[in-house]
Amino acid sequence: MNKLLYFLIVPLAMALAGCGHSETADMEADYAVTSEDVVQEFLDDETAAGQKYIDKVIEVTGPVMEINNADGKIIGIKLSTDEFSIVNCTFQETPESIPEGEVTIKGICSGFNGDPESMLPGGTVELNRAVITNNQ
Amino acid sequence: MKKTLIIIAAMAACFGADAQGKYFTRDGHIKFFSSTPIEDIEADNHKVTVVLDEATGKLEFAAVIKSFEFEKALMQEHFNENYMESKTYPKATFKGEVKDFADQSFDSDTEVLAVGQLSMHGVTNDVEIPGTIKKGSEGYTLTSKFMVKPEDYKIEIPNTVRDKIAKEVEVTVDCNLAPLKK
Repeated sequence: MNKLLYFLIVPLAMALAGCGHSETADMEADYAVTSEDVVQEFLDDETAAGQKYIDKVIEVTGPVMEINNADGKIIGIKLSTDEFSIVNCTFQETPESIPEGEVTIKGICSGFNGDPESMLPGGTVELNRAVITNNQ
Repeated sequence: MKKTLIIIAAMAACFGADAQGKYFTRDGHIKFFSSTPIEDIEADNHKVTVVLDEATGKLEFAAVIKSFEFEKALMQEHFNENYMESKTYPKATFKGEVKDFADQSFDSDTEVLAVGQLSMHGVTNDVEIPGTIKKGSEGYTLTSKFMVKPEDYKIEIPNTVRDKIAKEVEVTVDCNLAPLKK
């Protein structure tokens, strides 16, 4: 019996270890917010906002401030109207294009990068494995 | 009255110079790489915040631990929950300065030493990190490659996976800093 369990469990564990990430596109958002509001929530109370958003799927709407490239491909975008309060996302897969103007993206919130004692004012809410949804 | 105006003007000039002298990015890249005969593990964070004060050579890095992305979901989960305990210690930071910054022109890739404090997993250590800095028309390019011992930051690796994780992890830094306008 023990041997049988071993032969069942070990391959299952190995298969799980090799698994990639779930598709963000298939996940339902826990929260839908604007880029401005979510950054402000973290600036107002980083602990409370962290408990609310970190590890959650959030859908964020805001204006594209910058497209981030690495090795010749788009890897992420920043949403903001203000250089010091930004939602910074990296994509799960390289998107074909970035819509102009305001976009809606869905991603996993990984945290807030800001420090009142830093030389850099403001802060960044960070999203991993993002996809562009534009409410579709 | 005249004295007050001079003081205000001098203060404004100081603050202006401060902002003009700073360079930053919010999408710096840090990669870590652990290699053993059994397994290679690597993760990338493309959302690292970096600030350099040109006037003083002061340098800051801040990385959200959960923004390190792994190819395998389970590795990422173990990294955050078992090793880095990122819920309790959400960021890694470096605060310090580039040694002899004022003496360099940085016209080409210049080898430097960043001296300061590296904090992660609730532990802060004094470090000296080698790297290169180059100044171009749009700002500064910073690169670095150095080794970190998990045990120096009280990151415990369980015996069951000890053979899969290197005793020293290679950290590679690559970022382009643009002028801070405020």
